[in-house]
Formats: sequence, C-alpha cells, structure tokens
Amino acid sequence: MWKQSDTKEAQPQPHAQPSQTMPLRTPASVARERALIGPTLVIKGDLTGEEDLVIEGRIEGKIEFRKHSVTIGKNGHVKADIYGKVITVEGEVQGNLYGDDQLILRQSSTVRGDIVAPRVVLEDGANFKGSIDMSGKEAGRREDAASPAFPGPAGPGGTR
Amino acid sequence: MPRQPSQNANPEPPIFRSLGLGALVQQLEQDRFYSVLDLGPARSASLNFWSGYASRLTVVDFYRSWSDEGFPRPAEGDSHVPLFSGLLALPPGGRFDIILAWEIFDYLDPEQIPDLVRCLHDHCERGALLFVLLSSAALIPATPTAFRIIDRDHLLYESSGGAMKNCPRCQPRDLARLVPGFQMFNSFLLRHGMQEHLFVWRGTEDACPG
Repeated sequence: MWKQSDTKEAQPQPHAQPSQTMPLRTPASVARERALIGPTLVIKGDLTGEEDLVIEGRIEGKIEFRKHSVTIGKNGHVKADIYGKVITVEGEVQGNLYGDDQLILRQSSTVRGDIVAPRVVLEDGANFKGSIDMSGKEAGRREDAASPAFPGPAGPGGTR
Repeated sequence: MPRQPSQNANPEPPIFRSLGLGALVQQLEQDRFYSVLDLGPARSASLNFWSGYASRLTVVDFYRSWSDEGFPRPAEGDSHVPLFSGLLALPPGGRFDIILAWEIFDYLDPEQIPDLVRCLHDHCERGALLFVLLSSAALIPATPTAFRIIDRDHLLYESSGGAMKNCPRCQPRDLARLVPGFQMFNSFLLRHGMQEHLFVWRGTEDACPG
C-alpha cells in the first residue's frame, strides 16, 4: 500500500496480429464507455454517472462517479468534491478527492484539498496543498490521547 | 565540505546522511500512527516514507504559498502571525505530532521565524516534534531546497540551482528564542555543512491568535 511500485498503471501491450478466425474485437477489448467534458464546456452543478469520465472543461459543484474512474485532464479546472473509483488529476482541482481504489496526482496537477484513498500516487512536481488521509489507520491511533506523542528529551541535546 | 549547490545542471541530486530524521524516527512507537505536517513541497518519497508511520500527512508548501502571493509583508511593526496563518491555512482543530519545517527558517528574517512558529502552536499535539534544517554555508540557493526522504538516515537534496543568496547562518544558541514553545531535543552538525535540529513542543501561553 502506498508504494509507487504497487500502483503502476497497466501499460498498453502490443497487439498480436488477429488471425482470420479471431474476432477483431472481443468483449474484453471493447473500450469502456467514457464521457468527455470538452475544454470549452463550463458546468455548474452536480455530476453523476455510470461511466468513466474525462474532464477537460470547467466544473463547479460535485462529481460523483463512485464506481468509475474520473480523470481531470490537463485543461480541466474543477471546483468540486470528487468521488470516484480511480481519480487521476492532471489539471487543477479545488476540493476534496475521495478515491475508492486509487488516487493519482500527476506532475502537472494542482490540487487544493484533502485526499482520502487507500492508495495514492503523488508524482514529484505535483502542486499539492492539503491532507492525505491514510484510510483505515485512524483506528490504530493512540488509545490514550492525553499521553504525549513522544517521551520528550531525556536531557540536553548534544551536537554530533 | 559545506554543501555548495552546483551551478551547472546536475542530473543526479546529491544524497546526504541525516541524523536528525533518524533521531525523530527513533521516537516513534510501533503501534501508533502519527499526524504529520510537511511544510515543504509534496514529494512521493515522503509520502511513501510516512505511510509507514502516519495516519495523516498534511502538505503545505509554505514558501511556495508565500511566493505565489508575492511575499506580502505586514505593516511595519506588525506581527506576521495573521499573514502566515492565512498562508498556512491549517484546518481548524487540526493537530500534528510531527512538523517538518525543513530549511524554511533560512528563508525567513529572524523576526519572522517566531511568528511562523506561533502559527503552529494551536496545531501541536502534546510532545509534538519539530524538525528543522539550517545551512552553515555562506551562500544558499535563492529558493529553498526540496528534500526527498530516501530512508530514515538519508535525504536527497533537490536544489533549484541557479541564483544564490546569503545564508543567515543561524546559530543553535539563537534558536531557543526563535522557536518559542519548543525545547531543543537533538542537534546535529553534519559534514556537508548542514545543521539538523529536533525540537519538542513544551507548550506556551504565547499562542497564535489567528
């Protein structure tokens, strides 16, 4: 969990030449349905749907695609909380991000908000300001909240 | 040899030993998870490292926030606390066990450092640790170095290179008054010209009003 090596995206594999008996497009090879909000579109309101979503335009409101992936492209500007299975940010987001599976902040991304996801990929260069909640660990937090986080210095600090 | 960032583009940023980070990690308990505030830029290496210890990592690139606003300053004689609090924009009630200030203090005037620290007062858990790096070199890069945590004993120095500026060369003895509410826990002078300091939060009535 949380390791980049765990979260590498599948790279497209070179296709074998289809034989005459092989169907050109098997159900598995059919591209998943994907909605695109183009760069000239401006939407104010809530968005929900049952397909993957790519945003290159501007959205203000709430985006809820819990069972699908949401990608904010390089031209995308979003001011909204986003719920998705896998959320990938290449553009700008001002809002909280809730990824059920994974959240990816690309190098080009600018994000102002908090992140909740079991796996997070943060590319160096991403402009991120906010909190990353490492889900599931909160319960393991110290039982005695009144006790100090650390025992503190046993004596004066030395210089080495 | 003191660290002197290379003027020519070096594809391999240097990795230096860190004793302060190791001392910090040594204080962590296995069965606890900590809330970490990172005042430097977001780095994947830091995220990966702290995922083993933290339940929450909050990233506020303080210098960049200040820079993006054009380095505003309060009226002469006024405190920087309201300004810095606004730049930090920490969540109300949010408290941290570990605060990574990195080398930010080298990029603040001496009177600004206590004001920044005061902004953290309301966000410190009891016994919180503050990790600070300071340079002993005459010149430092004009913008702060970003640090990537390689492991608990090593940091990668990701310098912006290019223009340089004079280093304030803050002395450890000055730090006590510059970091109100915190007590020095460990102090290390490293061979490459960096000082690493670990402070522990002791509390103070001089809290941040903002």
